[in-house]
Amino acid sequence: MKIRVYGILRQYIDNRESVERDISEPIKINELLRDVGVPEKYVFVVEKNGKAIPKDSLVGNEDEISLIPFISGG
Amino acid sequence: MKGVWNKVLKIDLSSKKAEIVPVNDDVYKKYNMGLGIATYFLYKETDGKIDPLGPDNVVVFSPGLFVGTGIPTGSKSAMTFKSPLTGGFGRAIVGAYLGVEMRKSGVDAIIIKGKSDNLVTLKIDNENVEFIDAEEYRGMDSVLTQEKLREKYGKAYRTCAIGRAGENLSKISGVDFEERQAARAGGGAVFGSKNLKAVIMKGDKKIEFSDEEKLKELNKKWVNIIKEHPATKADMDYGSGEFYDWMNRERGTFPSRNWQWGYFQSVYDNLKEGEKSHIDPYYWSPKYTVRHHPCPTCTKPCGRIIEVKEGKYAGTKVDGIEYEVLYSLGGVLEIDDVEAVAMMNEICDREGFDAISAGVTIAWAMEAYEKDLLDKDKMEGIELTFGNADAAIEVLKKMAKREGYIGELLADGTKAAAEKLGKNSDQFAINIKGLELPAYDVRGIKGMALALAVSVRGACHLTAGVYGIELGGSWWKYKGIDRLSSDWKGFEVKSAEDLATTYDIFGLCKFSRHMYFLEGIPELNNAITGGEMIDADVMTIGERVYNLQKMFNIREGIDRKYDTLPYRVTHNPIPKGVSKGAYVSEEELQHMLDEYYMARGWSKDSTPTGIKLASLDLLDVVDENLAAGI
Repeated sequence: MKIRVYGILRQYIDNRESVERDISEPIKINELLRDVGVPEKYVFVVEKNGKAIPKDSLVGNEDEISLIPFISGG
Repeated sequence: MKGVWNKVLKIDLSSKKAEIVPVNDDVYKKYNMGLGIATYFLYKETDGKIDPLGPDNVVVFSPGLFVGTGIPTGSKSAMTFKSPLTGGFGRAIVGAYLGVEMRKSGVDAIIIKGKSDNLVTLKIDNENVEFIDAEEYRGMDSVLTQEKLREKYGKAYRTCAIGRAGENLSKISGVDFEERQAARAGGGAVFGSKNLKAVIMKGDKKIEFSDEEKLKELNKKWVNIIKEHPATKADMDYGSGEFYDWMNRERGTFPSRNWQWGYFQSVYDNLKEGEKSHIDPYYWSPKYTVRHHPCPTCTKPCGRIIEVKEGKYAGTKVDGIEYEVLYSLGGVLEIDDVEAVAMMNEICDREGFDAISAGVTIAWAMEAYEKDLLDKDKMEGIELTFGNADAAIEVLKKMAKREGYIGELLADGTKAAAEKLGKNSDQFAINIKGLELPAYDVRGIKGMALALAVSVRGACHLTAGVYGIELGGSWWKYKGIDRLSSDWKGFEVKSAEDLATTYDIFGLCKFSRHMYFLEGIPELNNAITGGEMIDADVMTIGERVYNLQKMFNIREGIDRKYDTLPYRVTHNPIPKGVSKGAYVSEEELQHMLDEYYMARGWSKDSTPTGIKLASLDLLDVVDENLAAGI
């Protein structure tokens, strides 16, 4: 699965734009976050295939996940 | 009450006299400091319908309660005045070192009225005021003026000054506080109309806090929370424009080419894999940053000094470039040259322009020029087409001096310019109540469209600051927000306005609202004042102050009719990109307004009801005959 990471959260994945994971069965988002190393408290929105989902949702290997921080803006 | 001086300093420029006025605890309990008492005193010291550029207008300046306490990001002071640009409530929030001096001076606010017969600098030592002739600084830029004043009177003074734009009464001019600007809504022109060039201030008193030990402990706690937060590193590395690329690629809501586009099409459509837009901070910040330039007591400084060392814009050195300016002097002009944007940013700061309004006004002129609506014979050879940075620079300089046809046409912003030009040019004048729109394409962010439409100071992104909630879809207690829907936006905007207002009352930077949220505020207030504030009180103070600002506008006759959106937002859908097709129909706007006024407890024409004002304990300040339902 592809996990796209935005903005300030990229510092947790060595400033890359995305990471890949191969999972054999669906897992909860918060477990996935732990695995990727992005602290859950700084992730404001998780999108699965472009739609926002709760953090206790299950996601599968075919899903594309986006992790979005709060936009503090200018 | 601890943590305040229970005094304000009233200065009359006409008579050149100053007096200390005692203020009782009840005022602080209701309004606290910063934007709270600055709103209270502005309302009290002015009558409706005064000339904003006449001697009866008043400027109030007050630091937030947290300023000067060491609380990280507690750096903001508020300046209020009747806006010459909108005719309504004028407000500018600024990370001013002068505010820190005021916290040590013995007064909680200064209230300036009248008009001096000569150009003056106010020199304030603690509670003592001197009126010093400033003729030698006439026509001098705002930054240099402050440098000269500190050279002459000593570095211990912290300062603010206007540039040429303010002296020439440009309605889009602001006041510079050591390269931080109280920019929006025309405060610079109010200074200029009073013949007030600068204020310098020094304080040497120690304000007493209720529980010094607790405050130290809390400060330490917040320094650590902020240090750990990922936004700190990102803000320090890239500044407020960190999310510029995301706004273009992932949301399609970075308005460009005078809002003809919802993202910077001519750049993004041509980028190759791995390339960056040249106004993206990820491109320019590592290359041009010289050092950080923090607001007072900020431990996560997003401000930076950048310097252009080579090329035709060499010598440019400016605090920036903020996200808003990447839009107003970049995308909306179709300029992707960061060095040119930096130079325009510096010109705006030195001449004393609100960089948002000045840039958006030039964008309007570029569209008018390309549509052949301007008198090209009077353009002195300037080809003001989109993307022409040198033409924009030349025009900006002319605006400050009100020089020639184009300088005079643009000096007061888009509303005045479109009224002068006619020819339906108001259809692409990007303002609300006269104030130019910020860097969020609200056609694709409908809650933000409502926020801009109803904001008391015109199109202001920080009055509610719901862009983060809308673009992300979730924040704090807000869940499941759909940016393309016009439903359920009323309470979202109302509550976000109340929360944002409290940040300006306490002086906390809004870029730390995802750290302190609401819950961080009461214990800090209580350690300083000895009060017993709880979370709900914080929101109530915000709501009280916001309603008083609204009553200021109602007193001026500014009601629902003025809560509008630019024609381009309601009639021209975003043409391309992630938000393609999005716009806000007139019906959607009216629907959102109805919801918002209901959430606020206001009448359908947007007037606060008597019962709402009574419940907020405001009837001793406002004229209740102005309220609805009485």
